Amino acid sequence: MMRLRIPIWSRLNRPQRILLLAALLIVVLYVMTVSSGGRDGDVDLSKPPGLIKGLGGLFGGPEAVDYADLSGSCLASGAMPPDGRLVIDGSCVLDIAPRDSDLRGLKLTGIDSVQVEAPVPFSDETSSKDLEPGDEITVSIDSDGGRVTMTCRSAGFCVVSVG
Amino acid sequence: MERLRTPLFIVALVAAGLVVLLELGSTWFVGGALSIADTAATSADLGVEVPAGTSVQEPTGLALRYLALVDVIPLFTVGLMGAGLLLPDRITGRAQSVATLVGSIVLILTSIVLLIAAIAALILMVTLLLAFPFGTIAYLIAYGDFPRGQAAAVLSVLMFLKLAYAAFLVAAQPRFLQNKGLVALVLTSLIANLVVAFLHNLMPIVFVSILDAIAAIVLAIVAIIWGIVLLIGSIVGILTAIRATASIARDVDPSAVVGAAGRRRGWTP
Repeated sequence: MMRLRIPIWSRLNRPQRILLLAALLIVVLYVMTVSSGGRDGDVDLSKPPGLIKGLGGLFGGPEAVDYADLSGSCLASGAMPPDGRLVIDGSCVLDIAPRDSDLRGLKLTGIDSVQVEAPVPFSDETSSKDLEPGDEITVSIDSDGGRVTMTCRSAGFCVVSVG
Repeated sequence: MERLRTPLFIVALVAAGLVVLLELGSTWFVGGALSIADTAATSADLGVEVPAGTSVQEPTGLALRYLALVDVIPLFTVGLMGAGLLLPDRITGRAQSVATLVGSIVLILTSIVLLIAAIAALILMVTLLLAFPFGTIAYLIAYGDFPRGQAAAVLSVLMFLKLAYAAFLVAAQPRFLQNKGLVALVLTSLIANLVVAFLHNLMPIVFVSILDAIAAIVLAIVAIIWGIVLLIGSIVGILTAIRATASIARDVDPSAVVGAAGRRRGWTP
């Protein structure tokens, strides 16, 4: 049987051979990792992977919007009602004052069908979401504050619960 | 004993320098461009309406720049060795420990600041992503389209340069392989490249910005650990030098000194 002779190999001592093999292993693993092209496929962002959820649990969610920062036509009496329920006459706006906080959350629960239009944090865009009875969403507000517009999806009055 | 082959050593030094420069300048190559990601379509999947044509910019990421925290250490170490080629041993011998002390303190402080920044970025990204649906849209616009291909290209060039650096270093002087600290530094640098590439490819592209921030945190921690090792090494070096100087001073015969001084002043023992 022919024996393969590698010229440099015979000149290396044992620790040097181990080092060379370790470097080779790293290079092979690197090539395999990069050539795989990365994982892809459909992602359901409403159900992120366990690692992301775990990190979210570790860090906790954004702090809740202070009711004192709320104003606008949705607050008929000028302040948040004690039961947290906003009665909307067709459409109304809820203004959230700026705060020195990266991100705050305003939890809304649909009692009736409502369309919620809210600013996208750290962006000049707005987006909207239809809220069905029982649905719960968190409107994210950045340090600049913003305006949330709520519109009843049926004629007349509708109700949304805050918090 | 084999002599240091200076041209090969200089090539290794240049390769190590290029590694750090490429990492620091990676934001010029990776990200920043307007993304072709169809945010409106992705948002529709989430049941949220976003105006069509919303501009999305590719994130530049953190990990490639944070690699410099790790790779600056072998550059610094080999740079100190290179200084010995230009300056007399008397100066480099004394300066090495002091330079390592200052360098390690700067490295530790910089790494701590950048670690905090990376943790803050990670918290923001995760909080946005999990604040479904409006925060998720914000995440998609700001971080959702990580330029994984560009990052892989830069990582591959870095890997090549690091291997070239290691090979030229050994070719310049095979005894570098006996320097366990230097070998561990080079291996750490190669493994750091592998870890970043692995994390960039672990999950679908939407989540890569989060994994990139995790990689940056790992790199900052590794840099802090190496900084502490260098700090301890430099303190030991300085103490040893002080003890050696004190020992030499003690070993000098005081009577001989007095005798010589006395003779100069005309005293006779």
